Amino acid sequence: MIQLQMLSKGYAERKRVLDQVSLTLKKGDFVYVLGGTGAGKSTLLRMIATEEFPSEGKISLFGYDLATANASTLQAIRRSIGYVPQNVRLISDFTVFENVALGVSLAGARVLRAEVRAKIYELLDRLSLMNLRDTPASKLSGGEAQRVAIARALARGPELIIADEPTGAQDFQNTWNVMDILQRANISGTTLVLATHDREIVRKLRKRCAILSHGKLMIEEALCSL
Amino acid sequence: MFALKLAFRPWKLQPLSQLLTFITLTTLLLLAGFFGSLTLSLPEIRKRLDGDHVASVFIDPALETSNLRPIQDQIHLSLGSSPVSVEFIDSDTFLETIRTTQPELAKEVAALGGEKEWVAPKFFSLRGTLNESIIESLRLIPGVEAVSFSGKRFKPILENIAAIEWLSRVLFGAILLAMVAILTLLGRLNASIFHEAEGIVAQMGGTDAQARFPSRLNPILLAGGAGVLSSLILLKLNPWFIAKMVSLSPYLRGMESVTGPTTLALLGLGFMIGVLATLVGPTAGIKT
Repeated sequence: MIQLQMLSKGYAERKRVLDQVSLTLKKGDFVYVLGGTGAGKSTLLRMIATEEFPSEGKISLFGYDLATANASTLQAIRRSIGYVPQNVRLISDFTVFENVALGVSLAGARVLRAEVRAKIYELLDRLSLMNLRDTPASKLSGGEAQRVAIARALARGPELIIADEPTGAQDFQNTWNVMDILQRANISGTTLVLATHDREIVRKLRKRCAILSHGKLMIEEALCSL
Repeated sequence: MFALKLAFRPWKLQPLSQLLTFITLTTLLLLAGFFGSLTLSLPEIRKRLDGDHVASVFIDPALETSNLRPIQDQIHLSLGSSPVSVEFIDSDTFLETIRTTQPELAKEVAALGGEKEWVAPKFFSLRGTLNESIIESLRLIPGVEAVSFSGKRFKPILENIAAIEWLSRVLFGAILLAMVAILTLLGRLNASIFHEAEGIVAQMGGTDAQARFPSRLNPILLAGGAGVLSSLILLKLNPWFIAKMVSLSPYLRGMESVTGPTTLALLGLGFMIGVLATLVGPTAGIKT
C-alpha cells in the first residue's frame, strides 16, 4: 500500500532531513514513526501525505508512483488519505461541524445526507466536540482544534490515516480517547501511520514502529519494544 | 454550499474592504452606464443635426403668386428623394414673422400697400437634408432670384458633440479598466484568505477547480452584485439625467433614456468584469 524506497529530502540551507529511508506498509498496518526532535518524522509524514515530494527516492501509494502520477491521480490519492498535520490547519471562521463536513464533501459527498450528518455527529461526540459543533475554529483551544482535525480525517472514511503528534495537545483522557478511536479505525481496516513523542502510548499500544534519528531509519521493529 | 461560503469569507474577515470595493464598483458601473448611454444616443443626435439644413429659395418679385406652381414642382424635382419639407412664405406671412421681432420695419413695409411685394421677399423655405449640388440645381430654376443655404450652421455644435462622444467612449473604457484594476487589487488583498482554504481543499484531494472556485467566485459575485445595483439605479435615475441634459441644450432634444436591454447589458458588464478580473487576478499557488 505504501512503499518508500531510498527516500531522501534536503533543503538548500540545511543538510538532509531524511536520508535514504525505505519502508513498506501493507493495508491495515499500524506504524509508529518515532524519533527525537528534528529526526525527520514530520517530513516523512508530509511526504506520505503528498504535501512534499522527495529530493531523491521513490514513493508509491496505493500502487501509484507519485513521481509519475498526474494531477487527477494525485487528487484521488489525497481523497483516500486522512491527514492530521502537526500544525492543525482549520478554516478559522468555519464551525467545527463545517470543518469536518468540508472534508467529507471533498471526499465525494455532494449532499450531506442525514446518515453522513449522523456519522459526523457521532465522531464529534466520541471526540468530546459535540457541544462545540457550532463554534468557529478560531475560538478553539489547541487540543480541541487537534481533535477537530482528527474528526475531519476520520469522517472521510479514508484508507490511510497519517497523524503527526495527534495527541500532542491532549490531556490524559482525550489522549486515550483519540487513541481508542484511531485503533478502532485501524481494526476496521484503515492503515495508520502515527508520529508521536508519547512513549506511554507506544508502550501500552504495542505496534510496529520505525525509529528515525537525524533523518535515517535506525530501527524498524514489528512490535515496538522501546 | 461550502464553495459559496468560502467565496464569501472576505465579507466576514475583511468586510470594510469588500464593502468599499462594492460601493466603488457600483459607482463606476453607474458612471459607465451614463457614459455608455451617451455613447449610444449622441450619434443619433449628431445624425439628426447633421441632416437638419435650412435653405431659402427667393422668388423673382415680378412673378405673380398664382404662377409659382411650376417653380414649386421644379424644386421638388431637384430635391429628389431627400427628406425635405417645402413651405412657401409670401409677403404677408413674412411680415407676420418679423412683426414680433422688428415691429417698426413690419409697419413701414405694410404701409407700402401694393409696393410691399417688391420689398418683402417671397420665398420657399426648405428644411431637411440638403447638399451643395441640390442648392446649385435650385439656383438654376427659372424664376429663382437667389438661394441662401445654411449648410454648416451646426458645424461647431456637431464638433462639440463628436468630442463629447469620443470622451464618453474613452471614459467608458477607462472605467472598465479601473474596475478590473480594483478587483485585481482586491484579489491580492484577499489572496491570503483564499490561500489558506485552497491549501486545505487541495490537501484533502479537491481539484484545482474546487480549490480555486471560491477565489474566482468572489470577484464575479462582487462585480455582478454591483452590476445588479447599478443597473437598477440607472433605470431609475437615467430619465432624470436625460431630462437635465436635454434642458441644458435644445440640440439634445430626442436624447433617449436607457431601456431594459441597456440596463441588462450593464448587469452583464458587471459579471463580465468579474470574470475578467479572475483571469488577470492573482491565483494562490497550489502544489499538486
